[in-house]
Amino acid sequence: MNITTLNGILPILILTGVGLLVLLVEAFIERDRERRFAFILSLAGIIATLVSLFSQLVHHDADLLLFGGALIVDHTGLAFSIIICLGALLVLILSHRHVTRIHRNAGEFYSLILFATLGMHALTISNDMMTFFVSLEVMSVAVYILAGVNRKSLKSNESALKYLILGAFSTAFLLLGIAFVYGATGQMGFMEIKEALLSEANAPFQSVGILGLILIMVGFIFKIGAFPFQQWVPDVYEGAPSIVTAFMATCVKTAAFAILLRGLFTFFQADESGFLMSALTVITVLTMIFGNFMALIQSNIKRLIAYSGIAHTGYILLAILAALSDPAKPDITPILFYLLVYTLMTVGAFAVLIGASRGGEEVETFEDIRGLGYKHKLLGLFMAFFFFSLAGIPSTAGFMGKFFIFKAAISKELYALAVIGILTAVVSVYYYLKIVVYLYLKEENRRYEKYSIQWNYLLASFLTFLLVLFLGIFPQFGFKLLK
Amino acid sequence: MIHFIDNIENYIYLIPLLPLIGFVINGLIGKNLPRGIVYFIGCISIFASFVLSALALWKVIDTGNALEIAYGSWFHSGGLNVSIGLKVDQLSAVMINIVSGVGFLIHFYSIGYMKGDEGIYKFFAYLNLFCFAMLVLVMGDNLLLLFLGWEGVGLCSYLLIGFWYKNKDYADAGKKAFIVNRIGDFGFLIGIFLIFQYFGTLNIAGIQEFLVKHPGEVKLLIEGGVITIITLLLFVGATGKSAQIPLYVWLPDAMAGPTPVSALIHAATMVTAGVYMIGRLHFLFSLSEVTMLIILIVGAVTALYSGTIAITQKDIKKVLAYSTISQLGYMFMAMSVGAFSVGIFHLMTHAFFKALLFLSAGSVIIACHHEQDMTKMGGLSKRLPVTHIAMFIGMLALSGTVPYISGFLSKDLILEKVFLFEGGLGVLSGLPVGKIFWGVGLITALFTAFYSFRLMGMTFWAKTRMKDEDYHHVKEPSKAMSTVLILLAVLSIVGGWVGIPEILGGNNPFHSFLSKVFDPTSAHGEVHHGNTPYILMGVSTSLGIILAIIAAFMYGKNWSFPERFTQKGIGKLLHRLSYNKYYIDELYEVLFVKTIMKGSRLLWKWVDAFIIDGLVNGTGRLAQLIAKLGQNVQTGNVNTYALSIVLGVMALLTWFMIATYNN
Amino acid sequence: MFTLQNSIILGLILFSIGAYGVLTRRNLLVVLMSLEIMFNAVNLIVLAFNYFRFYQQGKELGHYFVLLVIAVAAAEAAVGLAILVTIYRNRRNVDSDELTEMKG
Repeated sequence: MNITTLNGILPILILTGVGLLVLLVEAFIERDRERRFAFILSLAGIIATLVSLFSQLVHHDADLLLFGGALIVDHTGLAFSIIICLGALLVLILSHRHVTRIHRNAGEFYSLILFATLGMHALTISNDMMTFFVSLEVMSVAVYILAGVNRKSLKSNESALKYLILGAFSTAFLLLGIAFVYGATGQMGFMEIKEALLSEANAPFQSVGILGLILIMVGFIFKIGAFPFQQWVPDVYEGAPSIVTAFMATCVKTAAFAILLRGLFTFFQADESGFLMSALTVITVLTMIFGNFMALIQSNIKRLIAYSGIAHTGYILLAILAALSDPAKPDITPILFYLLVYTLMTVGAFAVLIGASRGGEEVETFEDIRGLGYKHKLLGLFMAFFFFSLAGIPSTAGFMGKFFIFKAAISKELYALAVIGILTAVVSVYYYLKIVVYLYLKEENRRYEKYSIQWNYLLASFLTFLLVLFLGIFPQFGFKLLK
Repeated sequence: MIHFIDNIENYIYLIPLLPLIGFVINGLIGKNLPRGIVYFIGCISIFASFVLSALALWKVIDTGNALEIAYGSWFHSGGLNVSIGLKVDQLSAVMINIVSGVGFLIHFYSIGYMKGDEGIYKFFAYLNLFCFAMLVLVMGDNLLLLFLGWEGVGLCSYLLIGFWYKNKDYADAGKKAFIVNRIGDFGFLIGIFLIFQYFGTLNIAGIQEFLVKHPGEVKLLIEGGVITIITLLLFVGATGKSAQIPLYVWLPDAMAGPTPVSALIHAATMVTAGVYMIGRLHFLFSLSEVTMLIILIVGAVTALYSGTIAITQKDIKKVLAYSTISQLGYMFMAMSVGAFSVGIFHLMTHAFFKALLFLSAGSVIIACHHEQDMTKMGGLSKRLPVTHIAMFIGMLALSGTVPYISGFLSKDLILEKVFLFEGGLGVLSGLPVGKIFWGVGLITALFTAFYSFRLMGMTFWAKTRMKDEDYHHVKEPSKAMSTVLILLAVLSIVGGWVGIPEILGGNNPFHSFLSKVFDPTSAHGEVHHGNTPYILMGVSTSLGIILAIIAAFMYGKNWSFPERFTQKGIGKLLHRLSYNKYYIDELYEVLFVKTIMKGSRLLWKWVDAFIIDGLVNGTGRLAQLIAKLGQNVQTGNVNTYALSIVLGVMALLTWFMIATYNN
Repeated sequence: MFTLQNSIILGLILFSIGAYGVLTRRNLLVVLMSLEIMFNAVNLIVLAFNYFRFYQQGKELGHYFVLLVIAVAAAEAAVGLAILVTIYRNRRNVDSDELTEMKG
């Protein structure tokens, strides 16, 4: 174990260590102090992780293979991890005062977030079937628990259960896929598998291997919430506590995309029939259409965000398709950029939703936000801004993200896809703007008393606001970072 | 500190930035700040800008080079690589000092003028924003930044003209300004696109380089008329911004805004943006004789035309408004004959004396309790001594009747340059073009002298028409305002001394200074033409003085001649035409506004309500239908969801089998 | 009898049985059990592959993998049961048809 290895797995070590520490804190320190202590610890942990990630990104130029090829620390993986940790950080800040309303022991909550982040990070840098599987499960199980962390809420329970059952179900298929791939190649490492699949000697088991790959893809598609495996998304997002939904919608999705990307680019050449491309194309189109259209008729904002998240997944898939057209040198900057922007926008939107809910009532439906813009001007402003960005109104980061994706699609001649993407994006403007309109509808909901907004909400909202604005104007900065 | 001054080029970005910060502060929290702080922030930001501008000017004079900051790439999309930067060369240096200097004086003046107004924080915020936009316009090193500032000042003028928006007429005036400007901007924008298309860059230095490096291509472009089209389009934008025919109609109405606004935007700065733009792109305009000729014609006709309107107007501000249009015409005339530095010179002197005139008028208006009709004034010279003298000096400058005063010098130079112009194409070739337009300019000058002193007569020298109690209530409104008036009066006198031409004993440092930008090959600008300049000067000055005296007496002593002349016959007709601005506004209304309204109502009824609404609603209903179908999919039951996963997997596998078996 | 083919088929049959359970049964406890059956079916398949194809070459990656899967499945089952218990406490039943608070 030399210093390079240590450096490479530093984020993992930090997250594990701090996660465990927080659990201990929760066990040994009494309630009030515990919450604050746990919070500070978790915050420190995430920040330390971010620092480590950044330093690795800046210092290393070559890819770092660790543990005999089980982990690969490269720029792509680090970039994804940074986005994830950023999202986790924001969610943490957001959750500070709010946690005890949904769960008695704040420490458990924080440690779960840390462990989930751990799984996600490991996922982005995994290079081997086994590491990938374990990381995936670490992340997923933590998130299953998080979804149901509010034990008193029926919806939360239901959400957790559905997520777990369906998640495990799709994991089973994933495992089957791994089994077949292993059976076909005898390898577990991604690189080795690719070589084995391509080599002539393996011919009889070729189709078995490809079959396995398809099943593995099924697992991925489930996790990112794309058609036709997206059914869990609306229910789970709606039922889980808002903070957790924010976490799921952003970080889990990003991590899933990270591993999807790595898998795709490693195995893509093994597929000679072009099946993968066409299957992905169909999936992308259906996802974009389904997500946007279903969102139109929702009256619950969380559910709406869930469906719109499905739509965004579709856009990212489009970006992936564009990158795939050039497998030798894939340009994944639109993907990374969009994920970053999407994370910020979504967390921001949730931050405002959470900030607006007080007195134990969660803000969920259109009726709940009616007139909010008048009672709390700043909140209304932020919310409108985030939804504008989600809708892709020009001069926001959301617009830039979509712009780059469509530009990439067009430059790779995926004209039909781009057109469908743009059309569905137009549809999305309707339901996003509907929210903004409701914000400023005259009749005020009586439930709002004037209250002072807590600093953490404000901080989180403001930070994301600034970043979104900034990125909207200077997308190049984002690009330089993510190269 | 010295280091700061020495390296002023690194800090020139502060020049537009400081007013922007002032805007942000006053705009966001100005409502909650005490008045004093609002005034302070508004004024100190532009004052600091002025100090920096002065330092920058000094540096430019000192080194003879431009100060530049390049910020590198802003964004690139497609083949367009936009890099931004700020550049202060001799021309810009002059402009930023005018903008920030006069701007500051006007900010200061507004403290007195807008006293008691409830939206005061907004006012100062907008003023600052306007200065920011104007500074960006003149400091930008590429056309995109220029256009950004261009649009910005247009927006600010809309905000400020319609500042007292509660009055519908005022709000309409703001709208009119914005819309008419937009039309001009449309042409401007197309011009910019064409420039990019043919020159491949929007960077001003880059365009110049292109012209030098590709003479062959450039020749083709000239012959193909492309350059003419481009410059004409740019000029259309200029007519909008700088109120020339046919897009001048917004400026008189814009007098609805508070007087400091009129001073800043319509006298000293914004309207001069068009003139600046031609100066900045002079190398492009010089390539097209056609365009230059058109500019000459438009400028001259506009100058004369608005002069004839000004002599019958009753509203004190309207007289000044038409006067501005007229003077702008002069500036364009100068630019069109290639006398760029002369045009900018007149821009500068005009900034001084026009601002002076507007602010003095403001003083009068406030003193008479917001009365703007001159026929109801009179005799104010005794009650408003400072304002009286200030306005008198301003009028002397405007009419150019006193030698060595700023307006005299600049206007005379223009007339001289026009006289010496030898050009003319098509139907005009063979005619002594220069002399003809000199004649137009001369007649305009006569009208100028006339309406200037008519105003003085009606307002200050005639026996008062005010009621006694009102008359005795009239007094100088505020010290702040008076101070500014005095300062501007001084500037109006001495401001022109940097441009005293050789024939009058000076060595015209202004022209040499700007020649670096306009014509690097001529260091000494002027060539003697014998006695011609003196003759021209003599003629225009003496005739001007005669008319001024006539006007002064006619209106100061309340002669009945004007009234009798306009009672019947040709006098009545001319008066009618002039007073009603030749009914142009009404013409536009019928031609354009009514037609557009009718057309749009038609469109609304048929196309919009029927077809488009039908389509849109239909699509909406279709979308909802699809969604409802989708809802049936989300049953809420776990088992169902699991089933769909299995079905999905089956589908994929089957598809895969088919795909592989086909190979 | 004991060939690779047959082992795989056995595994797949088990897998399908598990899948059938997840799709059909209303009692969530049974659903969880079916999931376990699916996981173990996969384990079987992996081991089969490993034994018949690679064991001679000295590679036992499959074994390691199976161990991991067992551990993970156990963790997942534990969590699943915990959630189930919470649901039961709140609702007094564990019927998937009852569990449709959210739909559409």
